[in-house]
Amino acid sequence: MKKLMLTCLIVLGFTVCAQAYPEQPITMIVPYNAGGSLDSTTRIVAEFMKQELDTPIMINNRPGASGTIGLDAFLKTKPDGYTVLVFPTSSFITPVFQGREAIDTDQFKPVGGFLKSERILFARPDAPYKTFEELIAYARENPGKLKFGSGGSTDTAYVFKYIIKKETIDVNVTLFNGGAPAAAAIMGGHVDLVEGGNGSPADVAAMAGKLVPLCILSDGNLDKYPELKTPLQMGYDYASSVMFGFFLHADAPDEAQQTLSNVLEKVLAKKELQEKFASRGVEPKYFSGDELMKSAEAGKKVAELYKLLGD
Amino acid sequence: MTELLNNVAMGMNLLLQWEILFAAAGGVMVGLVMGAVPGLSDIIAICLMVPFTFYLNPVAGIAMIMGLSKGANFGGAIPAILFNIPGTPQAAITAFDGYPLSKQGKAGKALKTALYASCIADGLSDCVLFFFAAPVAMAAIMIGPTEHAAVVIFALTLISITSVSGPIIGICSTLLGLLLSCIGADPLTGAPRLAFGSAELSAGVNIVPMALGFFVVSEIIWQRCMDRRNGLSQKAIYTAQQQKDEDHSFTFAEFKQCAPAIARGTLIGSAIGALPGIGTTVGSYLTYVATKRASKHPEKFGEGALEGIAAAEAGNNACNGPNLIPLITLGIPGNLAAALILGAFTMQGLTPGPMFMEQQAPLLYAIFIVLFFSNFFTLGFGALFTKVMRKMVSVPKNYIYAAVLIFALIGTYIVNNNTFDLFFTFGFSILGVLCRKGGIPMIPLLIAYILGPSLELKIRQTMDLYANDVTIFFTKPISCTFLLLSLIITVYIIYRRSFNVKSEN
Amino acid sequence: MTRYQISGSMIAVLGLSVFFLAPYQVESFESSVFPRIISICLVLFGILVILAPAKGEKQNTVKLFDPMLSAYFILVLTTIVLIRFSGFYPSILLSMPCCLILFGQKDYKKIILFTLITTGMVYLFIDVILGSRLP
Repeated sequence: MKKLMLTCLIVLGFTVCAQAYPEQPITMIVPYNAGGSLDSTTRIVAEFMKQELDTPIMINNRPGASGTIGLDAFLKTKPDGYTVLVFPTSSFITPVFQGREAIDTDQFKPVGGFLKSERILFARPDAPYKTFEELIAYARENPGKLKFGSGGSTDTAYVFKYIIKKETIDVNVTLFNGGAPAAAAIMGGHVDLVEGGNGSPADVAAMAGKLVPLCILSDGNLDKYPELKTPLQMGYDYASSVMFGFFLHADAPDEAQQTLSNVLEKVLAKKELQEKFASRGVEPKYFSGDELMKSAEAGKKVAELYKLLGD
Repeated sequence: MTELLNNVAMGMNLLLQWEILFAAAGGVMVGLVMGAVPGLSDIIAICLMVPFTFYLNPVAGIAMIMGLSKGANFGGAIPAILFNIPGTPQAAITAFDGYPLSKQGKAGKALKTALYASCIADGLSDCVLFFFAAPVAMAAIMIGPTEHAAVVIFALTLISITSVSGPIIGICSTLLGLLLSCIGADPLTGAPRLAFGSAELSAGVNIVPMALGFFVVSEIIWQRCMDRRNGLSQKAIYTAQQQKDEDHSFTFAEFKQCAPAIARGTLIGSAIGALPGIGTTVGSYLTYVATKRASKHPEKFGEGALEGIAAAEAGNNACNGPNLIPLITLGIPGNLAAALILGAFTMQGLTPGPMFMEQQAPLLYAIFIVLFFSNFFTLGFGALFTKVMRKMVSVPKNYIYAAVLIFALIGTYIVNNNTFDLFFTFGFSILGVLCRKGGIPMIPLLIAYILGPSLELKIRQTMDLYANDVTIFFTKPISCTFLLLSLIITVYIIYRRSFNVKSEN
Repeated sequence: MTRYQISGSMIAVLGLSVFFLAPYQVESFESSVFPRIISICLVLFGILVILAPAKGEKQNTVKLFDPMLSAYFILVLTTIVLIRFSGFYPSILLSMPCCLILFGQKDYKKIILFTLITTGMVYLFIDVILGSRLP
């Protein structure tokens, strides 16, 4: 009789514990402006996750300093599994391009990725080059004439710089703050080439025929542009890697990580969620925590480029 | 033409939904109140309401954000006129003529002028948005980094040269603002700069703590010191406030007097609003200066000229509608409200950019129409609100000061949920008092602080793209035009000044 | 010295100091170019301000040190420090009366009443917008 009671108590105990996560509302820290691509994607995903988890999810925007302000804010919170960081894997190496150290990924426990953003190189349709090879040839014959602007991804800009160096061509490179200024600049003729993410304004213009994609500068291929190759496929050693993902503290309970991961996977498979992104040609997909960290590691390799190429 | 009418019809259909009208009205109301409390500005209002807008349909969400903008732009004038404390940075210029009028007992007249000027200019500029968005899109695309830098230089030159205290000190003020804006993140790379190793400084000081400290807190401290110096006891101030010839009417004749100022404000405000990143404060100031120059009695400005108030308010409200032009034509948000509207669009799966106007015409026309009608909300709520606020003048000043001080500190905190920002407010309040003591004009500093990062970014992008060839600014036609204009205006105004001085002698 | 001369010299000094300090406070050389150019211009114009007579300015001297001014600043600073340590509500309750007394109000009943009203309004305003603050 006593044994039975004990067993019941233990089972009861476990059941109670099993309902433990999530007990409180979850906060998601987005280290970028409200309305940006990371933020808007997160909000949609969070909306669906909220329904699955049956607990409120609050989004906290902490923009500034290329994501480091939000990151610092996240690291100061308690590692109880109720605060989640939303971060693009390419941003771990951003401090390197500012002359500082990369962010240590050991501080985080990955939950999973929800969007892999491929960075595409675009040109205008009236340009004298229609493919990547033609571009290189043209650049060789016209040194200093072409102008390139990044669409907000500094690491992709460095990959392009590496390509320029490897091919010994002379192209002027600058950075824009985001997809929109870059798209406006290329359409207005102020630059000849831009890199833009999948779904960015430049990509939307390309889908309408106003811009031509030449190649991909990150490490994944796209179904909608099957002929475009990644730098690795074209024989270069570096490619950027951008994946939006959720992270927890390294010390957060495993249970939290597991639950969130499962819910994320479930939610991303839903048709209604996919429909919300369809008009931009963007497909959120579930990536496991390991794949998320792999993307972060790939980014570290690109960080070497800063030392290699200088400022 | 039928295309246009079709779009308008579809737009009006979308409009006749309660959700949208409520969102617009609500936005205007909240904006008015937030703008009117110095310490809570339009920026804070928008940041706070944004989470709500994401769950409304796009037209309603945008109507709310724009309503906040419109309401706050007028709301800020209320404390500026009544207490010489601008509720929003752009209302600082309204205070130039508004406060003296208020001291003469004519606060109601000043407030009414501000209200009508704001609403009319806003409405007219919404029409500008409506009719000119598409053509401007074509022109807007020609503005690249080089041209943008030239335009900013033009604006800054204009503002420093026309400063009341003299061109040289005006330029100093601008340069100071530019220098201060360098503290924080390098605009191109994001690396920390001039931060003296402090993590908090590495992101720079947000405009809200800066403006609150620089204008509001310093104004409170300064006014208190001045009252003390003038030996006015509290009771004396109180009774003096009561015994003026009160005149709170606003006649049609006075309206006709202000009409040119309002028209000027609409034009200048629309132009400034359509350029990304310049801002309502510039629009307000430039209109004021232009109206003063065109006036037959320039000496009256600064002492209660109605046209001054009308000019300032028309100039800042007229920027609201056209602020959307760079957003919907190029996808580039020109100010915070536009940036958040961009977010609202993206949430709904729409991507503003060069293709937007073609693909989303009915939606956009619906938005334009809502914007136009929101102005009536501003008019209605504004009139009610000013009646209430006018009673505030009978509250002894010192109580108001103390309350405003607290609200300013609260406002600073709300922006970033960070109490460290309060130290920035403190620092800038010291700067504000120093400027007042030292005779350094404050508006150019503020504007330069806002425009600094943008200017530097564009210049460095140009240098990157043209391999450090400085002459490119003069080889490109649009850029060259603006730089030459700056030069010509500088020479002209300095010539006029020395000519005036000579004739006085 | 007129106030313009004082301002001018302070501006010039600021410009010089930024010009020399800037390279030590940046991560890359490019970052320091813009601030340094601005600071040189500041030095130039600061000197011009000292030299050029401003229009219509009388030669009035300026009281450099005003004790009441410092008192106000100290008040603001203490309020801020209080906020950092104990949150908004306690500091409002404490600093508002001090503020009003410093401003010269004498009616204690009114002061207390006003403080309570303001705290109430703050609570109303801010709770409506869901931003709870420091405890």
